[in-house]
Amino acid sequence: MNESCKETRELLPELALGILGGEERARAFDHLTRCADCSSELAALSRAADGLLILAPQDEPPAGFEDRVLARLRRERPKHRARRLMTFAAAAALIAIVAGGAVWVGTSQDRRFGSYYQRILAIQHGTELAAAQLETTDHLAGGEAFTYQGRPSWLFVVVTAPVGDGVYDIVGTVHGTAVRLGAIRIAHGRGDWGGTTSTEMKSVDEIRVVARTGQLVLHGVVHHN
Amino acid sequence: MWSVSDEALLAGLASGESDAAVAFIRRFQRRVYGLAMTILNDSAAAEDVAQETLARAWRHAGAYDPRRGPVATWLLTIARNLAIDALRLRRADPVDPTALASLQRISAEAGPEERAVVGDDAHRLHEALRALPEDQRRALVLAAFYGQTAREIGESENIPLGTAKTRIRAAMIKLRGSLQMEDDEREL
Ligand SMILES: [Zn+2]
Repeated sequence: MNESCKETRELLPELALGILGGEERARAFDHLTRCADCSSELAALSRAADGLLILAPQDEPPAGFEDRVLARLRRERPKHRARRLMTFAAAAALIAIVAGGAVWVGTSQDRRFGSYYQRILAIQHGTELAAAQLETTDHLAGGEAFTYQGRPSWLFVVVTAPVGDGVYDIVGTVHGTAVRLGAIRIAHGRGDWGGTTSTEMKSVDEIRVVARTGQLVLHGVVHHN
Repeated sequence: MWSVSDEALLAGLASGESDAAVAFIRRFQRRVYGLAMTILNDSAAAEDVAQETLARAWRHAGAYDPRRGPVATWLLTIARNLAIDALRLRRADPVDPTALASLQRISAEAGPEERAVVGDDAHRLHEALRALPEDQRRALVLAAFYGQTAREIGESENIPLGTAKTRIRAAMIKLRGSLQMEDDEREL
């Protein structure tokens, strides 16, 4: 364990509890993108911090709670369902564009295709394709990333998360080392970026979206087949 | 429906089955609302948080990753974050005297009978929490449940920042150690 690790370990308990702010937080994340040991220490501490919540006393919600939640879910349902209506043809067309090496910039409609896209690509290309669900640091879904190992290799990232407008770095972790893969512009909580890369995509095991301040915004483990 | 696993129920939720939604709400509402009440101590605000938590679970059920931990924990982290946001909006000074009263309930109520429902982690963490010195336990709960920073804990406890950080760190290391022990036993 080097000096940088020692310094980071001091910060990890507060980071796991979600109470570390600003510069210290950025410094910790900077180290974590490069250090697998400290990352697994953070995972262990987070398990303890999050696990505590289940010890809170249970309480009966006010009368009618269940109906009010159901009514709310019903209102939100159409949006939820739209995701399932994507056609095979639309996804295949999308793949043709990206696999052809072009930089693809999708419309908002196209962004809903994520999980189907992944499934179909997985069938077509077997082991070369991998996907990552991106989530925010408070564990909410925030987008998807797809990596393709081939000639050329490419990466495609879609973000739908309530983060500030601006340009963010896309960083991949290759054997514990952070590699900058591209940059994504996020506006009104949405953004996408796709491009070819010389980085070996099959070695990328995590994708992170990082603000220019160094603050981690989204991250996801890449599931290689 | 009641006997299906939390994970299967969530998968049902992701597929948009309305029976799954009802069962899901019934299974988790007391935990989610209870946590929100503990943090906010206001039933209208706690209901808002609980509703939003369940709605987010509904929207994002497909993103749940079982390797990250149990469904209940995932839901409760969402509820905690929303409740802390609400708390910060409501008060300029987030130090709440009712927090301290609630802490005592947290360490007193969850008994071993809960073990079957919430898994071994909860049991271990509860034991470890109870074994902590009072000052460390208070610092930890203020951080974990109420989102107070080391600086805020230092101010409310009237101790230097360094001492607050030391208490939080010592408590977290003991809690983490209690889970490690469990893993080691399992391997033997
Ligand atoms: Zn390290």
